Amino acid sequence: MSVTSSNNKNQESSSFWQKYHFFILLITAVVIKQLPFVSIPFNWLESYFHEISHGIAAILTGGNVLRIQLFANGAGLCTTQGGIGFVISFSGYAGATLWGWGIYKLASAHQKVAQAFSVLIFILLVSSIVFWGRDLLTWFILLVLAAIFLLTIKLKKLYYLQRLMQLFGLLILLNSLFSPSYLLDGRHLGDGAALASITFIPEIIWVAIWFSIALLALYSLYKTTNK
Amino acid sequence: MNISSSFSSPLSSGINKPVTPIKNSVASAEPAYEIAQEQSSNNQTNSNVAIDEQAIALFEQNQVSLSLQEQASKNNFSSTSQNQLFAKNETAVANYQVVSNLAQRESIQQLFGVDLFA
Repeated sequence: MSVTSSNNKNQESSSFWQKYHFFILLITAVVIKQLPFVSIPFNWLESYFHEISHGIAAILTGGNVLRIQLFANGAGLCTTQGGIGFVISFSGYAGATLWGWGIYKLASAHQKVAQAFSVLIFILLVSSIVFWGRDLLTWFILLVLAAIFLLTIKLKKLYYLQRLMQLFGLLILLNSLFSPSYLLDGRHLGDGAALASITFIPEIIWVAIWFSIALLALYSLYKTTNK
Repeated sequence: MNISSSFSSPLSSGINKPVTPIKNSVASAEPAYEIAQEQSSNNQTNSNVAIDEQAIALFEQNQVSLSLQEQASKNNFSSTSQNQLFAKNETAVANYQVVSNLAQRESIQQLFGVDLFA
């Protein structure tokens, strides 16, 4: 009787996790974002994916990346040459959303896929240190991020790697959901202002578009986990 | 002997006392008591002179140290004010350089076709 009751409890807890694990991870991500020091590397993570998206867009549109700069407060700069300005400007926030969504999706697909994707991000980080980092602070931030991904690769139980990658994905997604709102400071600076000057469409519209994309990505993840 | 010893003790009061010794035109036929008194008074004046010299030396030392302190404080004040002036100049130069760097950065961006994305 006792064995069957414990089995039932295990089944109940696993079904609870399966049912609500998206929300548990989302709440964990929200809590981490509020913590003063713990949130810093995750802000760097979002900033990195934002800048690397600018860089990848520049390469894909025929330009090249000269330098990526990351700052301790979570700000970043990507210096490019050539390419299509509109695509490069738009891809910062949209690309970070795509990275967050992709990391969560691939981590949810299979444990081996999660591990392979983690290795890919680690390689991308190391390449960024070698090719695009030009200052000590950027190298330090990229090294910290590379170390985080190296630790996740080294995890013995792939189950935990999967959950960690999902958490990283949600953290990046949450950052790209709220970061565009920081552009509405009346200073006419950043990607929104650049797009506004190219297209004559007001900055607020671009902020709304980025916010909608991130919200859609979050909803898509919620729907896939509830299937 | 007792009298002289009692006079020599107050060193601090010697500053306002007369420095020059009192001249005595005393004959040699004076009684022993008077001689002794004279000797003691001589001793007293001698000790007074000695005390005064010490006091003057102390006073002069104090004066010198005071004047040195004043000079040092004046120098300090002038050096701090100079430092403040230098700091002000440096910030002004830095501000000018920032403006010129911004212009320079823009011109370089236009020249090389470099774009910055934040």
